[in-house]
Amino acid sequence: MRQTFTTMRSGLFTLLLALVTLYSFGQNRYTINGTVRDRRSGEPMIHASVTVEGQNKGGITNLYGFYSITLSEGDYVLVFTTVGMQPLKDTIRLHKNVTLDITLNDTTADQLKEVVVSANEKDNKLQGTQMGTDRLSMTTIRNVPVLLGETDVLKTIQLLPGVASAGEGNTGFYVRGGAPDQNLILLDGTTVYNPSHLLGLFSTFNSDAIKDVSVFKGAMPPQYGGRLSSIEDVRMKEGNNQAFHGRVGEGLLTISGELEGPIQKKQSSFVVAARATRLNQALSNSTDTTINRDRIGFYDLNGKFNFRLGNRDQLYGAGYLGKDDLSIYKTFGLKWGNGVASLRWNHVFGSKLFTNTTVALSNYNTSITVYVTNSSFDIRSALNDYSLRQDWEWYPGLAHTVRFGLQSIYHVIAPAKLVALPGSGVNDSSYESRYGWETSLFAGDDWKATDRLTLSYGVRITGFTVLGPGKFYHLDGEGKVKDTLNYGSGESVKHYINPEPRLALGYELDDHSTIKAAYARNVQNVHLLANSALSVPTDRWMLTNNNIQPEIADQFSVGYYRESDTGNYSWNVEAYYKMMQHQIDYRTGANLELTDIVESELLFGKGRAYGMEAQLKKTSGKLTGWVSYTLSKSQLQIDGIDNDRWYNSTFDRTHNIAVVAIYQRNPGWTFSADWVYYTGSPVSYPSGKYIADGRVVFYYSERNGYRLPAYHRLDLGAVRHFPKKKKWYQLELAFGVYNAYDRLNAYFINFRQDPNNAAETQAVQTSLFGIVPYFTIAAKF
Amino acid sequence: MKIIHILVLIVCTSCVACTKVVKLPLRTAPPQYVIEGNITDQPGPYLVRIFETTAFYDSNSFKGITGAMVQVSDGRGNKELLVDSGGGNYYTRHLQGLPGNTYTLNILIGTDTFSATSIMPQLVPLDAVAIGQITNTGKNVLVAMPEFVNPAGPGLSYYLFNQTINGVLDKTLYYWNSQYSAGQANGFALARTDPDSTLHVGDSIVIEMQCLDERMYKYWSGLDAAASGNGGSYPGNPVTNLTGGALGYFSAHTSRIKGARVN
Repeated sequence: MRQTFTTMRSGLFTLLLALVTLYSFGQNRYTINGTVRDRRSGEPMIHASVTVEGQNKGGITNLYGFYSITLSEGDYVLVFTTVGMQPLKDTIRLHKNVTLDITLNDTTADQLKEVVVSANEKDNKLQGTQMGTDRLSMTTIRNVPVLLGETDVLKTIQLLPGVASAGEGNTGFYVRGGAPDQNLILLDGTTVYNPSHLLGLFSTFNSDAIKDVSVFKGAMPPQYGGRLSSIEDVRMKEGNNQAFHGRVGEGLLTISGELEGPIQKKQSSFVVAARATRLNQALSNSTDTTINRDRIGFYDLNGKFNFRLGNRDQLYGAGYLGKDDLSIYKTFGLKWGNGVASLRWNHVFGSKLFTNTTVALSNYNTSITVYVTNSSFDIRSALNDYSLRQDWEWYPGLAHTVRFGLQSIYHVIAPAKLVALPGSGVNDSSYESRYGWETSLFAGDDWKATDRLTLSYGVRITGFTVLGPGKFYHLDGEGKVKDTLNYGSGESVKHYINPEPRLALGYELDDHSTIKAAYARNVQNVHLLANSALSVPTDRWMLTNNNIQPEIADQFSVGYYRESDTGNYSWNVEAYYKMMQHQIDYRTGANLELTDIVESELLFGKGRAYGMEAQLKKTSGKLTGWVSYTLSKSQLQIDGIDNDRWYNSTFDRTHNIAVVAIYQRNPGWTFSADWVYYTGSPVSYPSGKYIADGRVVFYYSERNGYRLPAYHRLDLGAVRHFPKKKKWYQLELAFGVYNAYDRLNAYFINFRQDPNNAAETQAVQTSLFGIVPYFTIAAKF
Repeated sequence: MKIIHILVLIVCTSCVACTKVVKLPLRTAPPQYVIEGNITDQPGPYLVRIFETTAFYDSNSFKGITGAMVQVSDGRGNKELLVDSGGGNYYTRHLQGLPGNTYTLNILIGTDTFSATSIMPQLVPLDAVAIGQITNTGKNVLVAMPEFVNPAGPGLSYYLFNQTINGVLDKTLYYWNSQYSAGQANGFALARTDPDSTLHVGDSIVIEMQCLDERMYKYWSGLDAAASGNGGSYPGNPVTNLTGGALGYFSAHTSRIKGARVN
């Protein structure tokens, strides 16, 4: 015994000694950290590259421009690069921890010109493990021609592989065959529930205020979660902290303005942006008395400020407010709005630990006015998210970037409250509000295991607690209530806990090509119930409860990425397979808006989606752009629909092609074109007809057994930057045409009795837009 | 400024929502049985129709099914075998519909059986029909306004209205319930969804007010949303109270009819 003990002790001691020796063998390690900013504006550079010259080592800046690199004592040349900026080299003599803040210059000398020389999305696909992601530069977003000339972040996303448009004029989109509510749209980290204005015609994102957009198509790192299909992380500008700048623009339907500047030079700044429609002016000038009392329009306001409090702390505040009004006099009124506000504090502990604390509020509200004979009543709904988020980023050494933290959201949904005016024949009433508490803990590491191999591994654990007060129901197979249970305020009805493992690896085959593979599980606790393919703001949000389980998706993906030797071209191919559980569909003809026990109208099942995405990009030179092609399938199998068979879901798009070309002829002129083509959505057409109570009724024998005709359209655009000529402002004119060859794409097809022959029925196709020209004028200062 | 306004209006009207008739390659399913059964609280005879679906592009004539055995019972011991009058029409002879009864329909066609139950609710009387003016999609239109008082409850009342204008059935389905109007006089008008959405002076209209049970109400609302071809909800067949796989319905309802002339 004693002999063994001694042997063990000495063995352990030897091991410890060896470890200490290894660690300290001539390797005093020190950390360089700091913030990388744009020299002209002070904007922090997101995901800028920091590399050690001559060595395949380095890191990237985080969402706040912060980086931290740990190296052994010695002399180094650090190279700082990012999209659209000139690279900067800095020599460092490293013998203690150092803070090094860097500013980068634009690639063009004239500060008022758009940065277009390398208008590319070099999102470093060759490095790291990040798969299924795209970053869009605002330059590209501004140059892509869109409907009515309103540059729109969410419409431009629909030109990326794997992202399919939900339909004409609609900002809703399907990512890898998933429903539109499976995309989490964040404005500076806070959820925006209805990111569209005027029934999807415009998005709520005012491009003047946006700095960066990243799209994660499923294999997201552990700090992101909450929806099954994607995250759209939209980041607002911080505001120029050295001088005042702005932009005022006028388009066919909207006017917009943006102003940014320092509060205290180089220490703090703000940015404000506003946008409003001009349609109401045109309407009220009409002599037709039924038109001049209509209201169609929206406005939105974005505001942000930030303060640097010393070397280690930064405080940010951001807010968004938007309202839409679509009211046809005495026929119906539809108002809705989003409001988002957040307060954020960054702190750097030592040189390797970066933390972010955020408190935020997100509100989405709607109001429908229904007119009855001599009066009216309103149906109002509201959704509120109160959230707290704490992130830590730890940079222990070059090989690891560790992120961990927690996010907690308290959801309150007030589904419908009826407010009646006298004489409407309707009583005031309201449905019960619903409460839920969603908390996620996450931890992950990006590990550069070898020169060529990077591994990202981590886990996110999401817990959801269904809370009272309220009545909760047990239902039978037909959706009828068997049992009603009453819960008090704050009482827990049910808990759900779901681990979401995230695993990804990237292997650099050589300097120009990489292969990657990833697996991710995602969980979703907030569900949008929409019983129609046309998205309407009255669609209803529901929380997970005792009858509605959290949706779960498991996604496997593999990809190959290659860059040409000169770096001008890149192409990539990704394939994915996604399995979804607890998917929701509806009993036929279900009315979701005015049903208190909405679960009695729901049916559940599973989904599967798989596909292949290919993209070829040209990222430098006068002509840039990309071609993307997606081949995919998305299906559902729901208990109680179509005899429990697998059927093509509404989000299935067999072929999806986008070609985007941006030609920068000279600093004064930019031309652009895009062409999109996609297979029509699956639809259900009648297989027969009959009569009920004297009306013709259509008989459906299968679900989504047909497809709408294929959709395709060409858009052309041009932007003219007028030469500056000693003025303090520069004029810019953008003009172009949407749907240049006037193809009348099918928006929907419906069926009716032939108005000329009562004995026959016919199919009628409705198209939304023919050819639509646009122009906008803007002044930048 | 003026030019901008004109341009804005042009943009808004330059093909926004253009429509055209298209011919679709529809696959026709084998004919399905359709059953329409109606029991009212008015004097009989009551009619149960059995016929078949037809192809979408065929004309609207539906082949009646003869030789079926059709039985209706009222839950109070009265059972009747309906008379096959040809053309798919089956009539009762003695049965009198009464509110509060649960009616059961049983049908045997060859070897296929179908059945349904429907509860005739208590009567909510139709006091009168007035003609008034409302704004419907921007136009001032004349509409019929049924006058009745929603019961205070407990429980809900469900209604279906049929409007006949100059002898021709108005194709719009009007249905609502007393959920938000318990105890209140009715405030809803029969607003037509037809392109000609107004009544005209001189029109002679007949309004039928039905009080139905909840399952039949859901049938009509589901039919309007999903099977009337107007592309609202995801299309599908309304949830019927018939078992056995037939389309259609069996409805026991009170029925009151009032006429009016538009002046």
